[in-house]
This record gives sequence, structure tokens and C-alpha cells, in this order.
Amino acid sequence: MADQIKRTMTLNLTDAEMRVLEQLSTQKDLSKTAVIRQALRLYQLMEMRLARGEKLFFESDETKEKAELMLL
Amino acid sequence: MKSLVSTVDLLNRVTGQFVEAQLYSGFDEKNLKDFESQWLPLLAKKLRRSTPEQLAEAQAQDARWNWRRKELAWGHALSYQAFAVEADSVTQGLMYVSKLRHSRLAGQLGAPVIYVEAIATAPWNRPGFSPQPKYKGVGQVLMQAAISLSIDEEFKGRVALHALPQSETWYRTVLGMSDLGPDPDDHNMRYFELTTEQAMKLIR
Repeated sequence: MADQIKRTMTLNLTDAEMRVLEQLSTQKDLSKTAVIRQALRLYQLMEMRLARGEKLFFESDETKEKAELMLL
Repeated sequence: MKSLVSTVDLLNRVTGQFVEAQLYSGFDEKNLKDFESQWLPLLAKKLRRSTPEQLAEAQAQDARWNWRRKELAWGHALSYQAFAVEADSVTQGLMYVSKLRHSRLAGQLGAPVIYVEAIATAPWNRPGFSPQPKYKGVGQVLMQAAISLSIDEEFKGRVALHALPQSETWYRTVLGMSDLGPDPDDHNMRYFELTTEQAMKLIR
């Protein structure tokens, strides 16, 4: 794949945040860096769509009930 | 930003010779202009003159796709990535993938996949469209790019997509993807996935 310059940064996390990161890393079989990248992509996509006036919903598979995810 | 990924070989079906082509990550204005000035007039003409069945036979079910609109919608999002194939200084293939979908296949359920949002070879390369199709291998090069990206992203080669009916056979028999059947949540298009094992066979 095309070379993209990558920059290194130090990330300071609480124990609880680190536990979640490790849990997601294990669950998705991704490195912690890859999990953070996915989180950033998701956050940016949500912000882009919310800025367009769209709303974010979770829908229950069983009841088809929708709950709007409120974001500040 | 457009950057060269690699050079690849495409078979010119007319001359029987292989030609060097370029695989790029990202689109530039040239790719979109090639689409608008060279692909779109051919596709629009076919769309005007064809029934839905004739469109499928002509491998032109993507005739309503607008790659500039896709670029406007997805071009700035980190979760999407575009690819283009060029030969003879002309855009021969285009693809957009996304990186936030998860597998639906037993054995890799919930694992991240590269999802092919849209993939197309230029109309003149399609056997159903042109009486003398030009380049063979554009789709394969783009699918291999999706697999390579999946490996780079630590998704282990897993790739998923919904297929236009005209392409179902190609995904199933040529690429050997797993066919999970029609998806009622996406126009009943058949949903396909590549496992790590299937992907490795395609990039050897």
C-alpha cells in the first residue's frame, strides 16, 4: 500500500481507559494503535454526518425500537 | 491525496500483449474528469437505450453511479479510501472502500473487514458492454488492492461487499468469495465476504 508518513505520539490513559482499549484490542484482534485509528475514523464520520444535520440512532433488532444517540 | 501504490500488468485483449498500468491510492481531478468525459457518456447512452435486463447483459448496472458525488461525500473521511487504475494515461478502474464494517460470516463474525462500497472497470473493458473489450484484469487488481489494504489495517485480508447482479458470478466463481445470500437491508443484493484463507489465494 502507498507509503503514508506516520507520526508517533504518547497517549496518556487512565487504568479504566487502558482496560477498555486492551479489551477492544483482544476482542477485535487488532493492535491498540489500530483500535485507536478505528475510533478516530468513527468519531470523524459521526461528526461529519451530524454536521450535515443527520441523526445517529441505535435500532433494536428484536423490537425495531430506535433510540437516538445524543452527542454534545 | 493521490499516491502511486504500484505498477501492475493488464492484458490488452485486442493485441494479446500485457501493458503496464498504475494503481493509485486516492483520486485526483483527472480521474474524475476521465469518468465524466469518457465513461459517463457511454454509460448514459446505454442507460437511455436499455431495459433493466439489457443493462445487466451489458454489465452496466452501475450506469447511475456518480464517482464525483462519491468523492465529495467520502473524500475527506478517514474511514473511506479511493483507488484508481490508469493505463494509457486513462482511468481504467475506480474503487471506493470503507474501513468501519464488520464481518457477518461465521468463523470471523464481528471482525473488522474492508468493505467495497463501489468498484467499476471502464465501460470499454467490459465484455458485455463492448464488442471488443480492451483491458482484462482491472477488477482483479482493485480487489487485490482491497486485500492488501485489509492486511495493512490488521484486518487479515478480510473483504466484504454487496454485488450488483451482473457481477455475482465473478465474485463467487472467479474470486471464490463466500456468498451469504440476498440482503433485505440492501436492495436484496447478494452479500459476499472473503475470508483470510480465500484472500491469501488471490494475492499469492
